[in-house]
Amino acid sequence: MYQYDEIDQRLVDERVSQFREQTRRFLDGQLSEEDFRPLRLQNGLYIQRHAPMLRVAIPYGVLAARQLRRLAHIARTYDRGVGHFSTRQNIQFNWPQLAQVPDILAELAAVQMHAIQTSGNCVRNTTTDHFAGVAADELIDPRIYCEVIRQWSTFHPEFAFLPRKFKIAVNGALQDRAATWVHDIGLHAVRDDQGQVGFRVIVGGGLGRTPMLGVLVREFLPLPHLLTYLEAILRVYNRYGRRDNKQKARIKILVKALTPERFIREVETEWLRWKDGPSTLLPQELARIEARMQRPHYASLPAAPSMALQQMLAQQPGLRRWRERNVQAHQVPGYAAVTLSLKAPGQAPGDISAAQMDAVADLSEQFGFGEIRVSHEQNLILPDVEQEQLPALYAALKSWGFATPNIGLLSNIISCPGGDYCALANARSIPVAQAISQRFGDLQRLEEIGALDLNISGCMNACGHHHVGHIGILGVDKQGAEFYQITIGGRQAPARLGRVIGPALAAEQVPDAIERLLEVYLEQRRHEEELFVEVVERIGIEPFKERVYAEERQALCA
Amino acid sequence: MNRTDIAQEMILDGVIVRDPYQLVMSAQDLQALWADLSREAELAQALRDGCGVLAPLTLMQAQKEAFLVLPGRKGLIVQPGDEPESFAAELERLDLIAVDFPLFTDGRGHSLARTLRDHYGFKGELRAQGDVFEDTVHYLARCGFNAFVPRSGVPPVQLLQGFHTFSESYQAAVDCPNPLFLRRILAQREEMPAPAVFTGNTP
Repeated sequence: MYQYDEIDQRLVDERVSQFREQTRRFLDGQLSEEDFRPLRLQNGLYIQRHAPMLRVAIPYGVLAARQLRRLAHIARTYDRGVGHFSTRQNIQFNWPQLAQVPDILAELAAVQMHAIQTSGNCVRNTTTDHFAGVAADELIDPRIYCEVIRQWSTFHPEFAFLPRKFKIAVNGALQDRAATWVHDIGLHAVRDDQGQVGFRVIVGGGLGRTPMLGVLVREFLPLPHLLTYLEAILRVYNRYGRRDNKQKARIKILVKALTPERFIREVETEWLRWKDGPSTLLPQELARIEARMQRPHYASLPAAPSMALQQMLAQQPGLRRWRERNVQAHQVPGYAAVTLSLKAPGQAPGDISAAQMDAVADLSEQFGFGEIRVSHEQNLILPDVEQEQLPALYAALKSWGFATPNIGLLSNIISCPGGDYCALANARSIPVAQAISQRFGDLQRLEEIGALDLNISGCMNACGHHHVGHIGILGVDKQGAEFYQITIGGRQAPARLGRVIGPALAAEQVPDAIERLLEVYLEQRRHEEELFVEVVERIGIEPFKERVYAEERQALCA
Repeated sequence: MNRTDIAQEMILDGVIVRDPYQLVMSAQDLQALWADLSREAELAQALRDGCGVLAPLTLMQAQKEAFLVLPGRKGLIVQPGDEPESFAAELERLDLIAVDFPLFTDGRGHSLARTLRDHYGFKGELRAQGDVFEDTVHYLARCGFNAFVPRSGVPPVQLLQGFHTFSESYQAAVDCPNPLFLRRILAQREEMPAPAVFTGNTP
């Protein structure tokens, strides 16, 4: 992973000093709450239901063992011993004291971490494929470009006070694991006919109150122009994005209002003013970043599993099932990427204790090169595990509760913290997630249902990405009571938005409604490989709707 | 708000100065000023000697010649949403553009400043006024502002603390047209044996 140089370090240190001073002035009454709010948000600090919430950036989801240990230390020292991995590859602490936040930031800076621009109306943490650099289907490793974007966006003086938050995602593999079509900017790293690297540029996707897929604004942007083009997009947005209504302030609304054609024209006109200027990327800079990326030194291993491993897999169904679900193919022969499920039955999705964080840090060193990835699906990944060590790792993961073989299955629920913590939420998410994961805890049943994404958001802001879940659940407020609206047919790749099946349900009705949806699916699917979402596409939402609301209708008619 | 009588303190190029500009807000103000000029020779001299007149963009547009032929320096107050195209033709006759920040979180002025400096090549005074305080001036200065009128209650000296928050920056901006990576590459070139003829510092 990228190692800071002296300037990278100095900048995060100076940020800590700046925020320490701002916090002091706020606590002394020299800075009003109104003025402090945007400043603290740009350091990831929210005021929540119980306490401030601090969101720490994990740039493009890559963590070193010593950084994870530091997060464990922070959880223990400044929080209640727990951290929560978010749906944007960040980690959140729900119980810090405001006065201690500068100290937490100093602790982070000491291990090359920060909370810079993890909130506020600025360019947020750039996200990417959690298997970047190891995925077997990868075309181009996106991490160098993510680091280029991280540096460019950090303290960008022109784009600190945008109309609204701004999220960039980069993907470099065949499969889009970065949800690029639902980001403000989505970039696909690709090669042209001559083998030159560049980007397919998508603008104006997003979830939230007005879910929209992005618009393809450029089929191929050559790599040297990455930053000037991003600046042109941001400048057009900063000048013309709506500021009168928070609900209409994201770039997606601007793209739609202008029409994609006119938006593209504005961006291209702006870009021509800056194209080939000093911000044009040079190969020397990419080489410098590459040199600071500590790459693993892989051993040369046989690609095929040994006889002993094959025997173990044959004899141990638990190990076999876990390998099928939680272990992914690797670019390097003899290695595998292993997902640690933070979705055990009844667990709050994405939550992890300090002891577990330390354990993962140790495991990353024992079974890899001391690197951990954070996925937007709120799981952790050990990216470089020798396949012969899979049985030993499986045993260790089981003892720590990370071996639930449910990656890609229904109980691998994506969920925001919801009303238990978040001040914006209309309803709680975690109890619903827990109820569903308990109801569908039976592994055999999960396997029978097959691949299924279930996503839960506690409000319209859609942090739980409910629109792109095969089944999406949205918490809504009905006269002060929590209700849940169900959408079906959404998917992340290829991106599609789900459709609402009917009136919102009470929390206790939700697991039953899921049962009904699955009944229809299992009856209707043509074969085991046909996904839930594909059945929805084929037969429409009506049969599902019928079944879920049948009992209710009967009750009404009776 | 009429500041005609109060010469307020502000920051210009890193030092505290008295604002030499007087404000004309309306066509009547402008008419009165011309009337004063015809009566008082000293006033015309004062304007030529470095004082100036500042007017909102809308007034300049309505009274273009009456404003632009005033003796001495002329400045415009623009709102963050104003299009630079709407006054670009007059930029050469203007000494000051004052960009209003109704709220410090309204970042349109940042892009406006950058466009005025880097695209239109405006070399005059670029002033940030409105919701300006020490936590906002660093980014504003990077975007090309060289003059700052603090919001009421904030003494100008307090702004001075804000300019050096960060000792380096990654991106190109008006204060530093080359991004960090390009400066590094150029510095490395200079460390190498000097070429026979130095051809400038373009990459």
